[in-house]
Amino acid sequence: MQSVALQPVTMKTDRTKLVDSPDFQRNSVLQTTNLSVYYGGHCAVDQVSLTFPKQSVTALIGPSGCGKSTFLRSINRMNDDIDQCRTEGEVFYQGVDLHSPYVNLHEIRKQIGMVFQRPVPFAKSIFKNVAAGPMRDGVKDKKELQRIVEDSLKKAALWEEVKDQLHTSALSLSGGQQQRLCIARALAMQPSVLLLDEPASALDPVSTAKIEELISQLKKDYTIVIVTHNMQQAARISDKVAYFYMGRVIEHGTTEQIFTNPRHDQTAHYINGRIG
Amino acid sequence: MHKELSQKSDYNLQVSPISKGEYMMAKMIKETEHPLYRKSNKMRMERFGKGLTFLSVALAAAITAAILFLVFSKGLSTFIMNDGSVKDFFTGTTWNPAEVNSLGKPIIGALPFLVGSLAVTGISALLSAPLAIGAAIFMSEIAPKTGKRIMQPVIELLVGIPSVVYGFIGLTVVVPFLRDLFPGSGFGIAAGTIVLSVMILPTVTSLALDAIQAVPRSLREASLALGSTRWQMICEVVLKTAKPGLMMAVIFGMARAFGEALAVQMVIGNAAVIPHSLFEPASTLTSILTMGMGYTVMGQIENNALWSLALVLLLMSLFFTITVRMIGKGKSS
Repeated sequence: MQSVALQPVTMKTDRTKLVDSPDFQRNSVLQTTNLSVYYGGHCAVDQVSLTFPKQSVTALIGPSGCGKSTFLRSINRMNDDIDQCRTEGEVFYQGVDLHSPYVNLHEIRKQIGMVFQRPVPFAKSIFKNVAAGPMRDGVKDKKELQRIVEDSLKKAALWEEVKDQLHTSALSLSGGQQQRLCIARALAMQPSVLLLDEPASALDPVSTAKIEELISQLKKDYTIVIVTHNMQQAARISDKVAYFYMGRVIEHGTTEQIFTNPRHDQTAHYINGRIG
Repeated sequence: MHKELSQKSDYNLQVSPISKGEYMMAKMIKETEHPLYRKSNKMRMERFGKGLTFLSVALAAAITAAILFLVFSKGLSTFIMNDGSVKDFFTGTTWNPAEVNSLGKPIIGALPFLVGSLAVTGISALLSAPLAIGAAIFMSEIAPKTGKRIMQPVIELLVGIPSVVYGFIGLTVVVPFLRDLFPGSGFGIAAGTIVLSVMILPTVTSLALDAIQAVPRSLREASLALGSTRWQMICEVVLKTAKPGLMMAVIFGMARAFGEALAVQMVIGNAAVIPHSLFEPASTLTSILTMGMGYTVMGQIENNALWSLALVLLLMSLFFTITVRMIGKGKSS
């Protein structure tokens, strides 16, 4: 699994080789090749090629404004709605280029869930927050909804705390609970990939610890890409790390290698707190 | 712990003692001599500014209080001085304040005007609310660029058109049009409603636009990230979150429609009867007021009865304002 994941994918020929290789087909659900994102004339993400292996946590680290969030948002095409934002290159998900105009954008987002930096519960009950997606997609059966909600909340490690107050407003929960609710809401869509954009940066240490534990649990079933500013967090929960600087991936590899033996000086400086 | 603290503070006092001589020196410096005692120009300006703003507020409050007092005293005198019956006022259907009925009380049945006012206001709100909210959604969600470049100036222009112009257009376009299509003269609630709904449309639209644009981007993105289409996102997140604001927009529009006098008076026909269809002449509180005020003498019952109508108008607009405030409060909590 790691032998493939570690290959830097920089050229088209490499990619073709990779997609064809049995290792890739078995291990990778998500891959970007030469993905660039421009805001007007400004290049926010510059030719990033990364592979995200199945059932692993990949942490994207780097100083503020280095393009890691933009990169994450272009995976499920959240940047489509932003004015003057242009994307080049490809994002392959199960061998399909997500940036093709023929792809069903909404289906992509159902399969690739996203959780944002600030918890954004809808102003509804806890139950309706989690059931929002399935209900919208036409699940009417009450028992089925109940099952989905319970299942998602259990997976998000929130069930025990809220099972007696499912019909109270989600806004009455604490910040950490709200964030886990948002994760449960994403899980209710039964995605295979989860994109987490600094999910714990607005939370206190206890809630952060819970989210981190949750991510380690979710890894068994989902492919997770997480943007984080917190070095310790990246070290604790991720299997792979990619270091972004000025829109480029400077270095990527296993977490152990990046943190103990970084190949680039810049990576070492950042990890030791001398950049950013 | 406490002891330690007090010791520490004692110590602090000891390190910066002020000698008796120094203390006397400080006393001897006259207040004006040291720059720290000097009053600056800016301080005077500050006091002046405070006084000026307070005066403005006091003046506005005094004017409001005076108007309220006048309208209340005049409006209530119909019932107190002229022995009018409150029940007759709200349920009677004949308006002839100069005459008295068999009980010796003035004939002041304002029900036709109340019905007219409420009908015109309600129906025009029903007509303009969907249009206004639809336009606001288009401007904010579907085509923000066109919305900003074309729709916004159009709406601002519509707000600025004087009501007499609306009334004139209603008189020359809407009334003949209705006359051709439906039996009757064309004057009536329908004509008033059409003119009013166009009049309040820009107000409601721009307030609804504000409400919709106030929905945070993060909520929209959260919905989109779950795979919602734009339309699903608008229905489930934007409209639901903006609901109090949208209600406020519609109520503001209703308040404006309820108080509008000139345009309505020009097209409604001004018959003091309860209309049986939308195409019969009717009248509103405002139209009777503007029609009658030139022909009555201060202090007489005819005049006082008009003040009573004004009082009802005032109370209604107060009601609208309070409702808007209540919704606003509910929204923030």
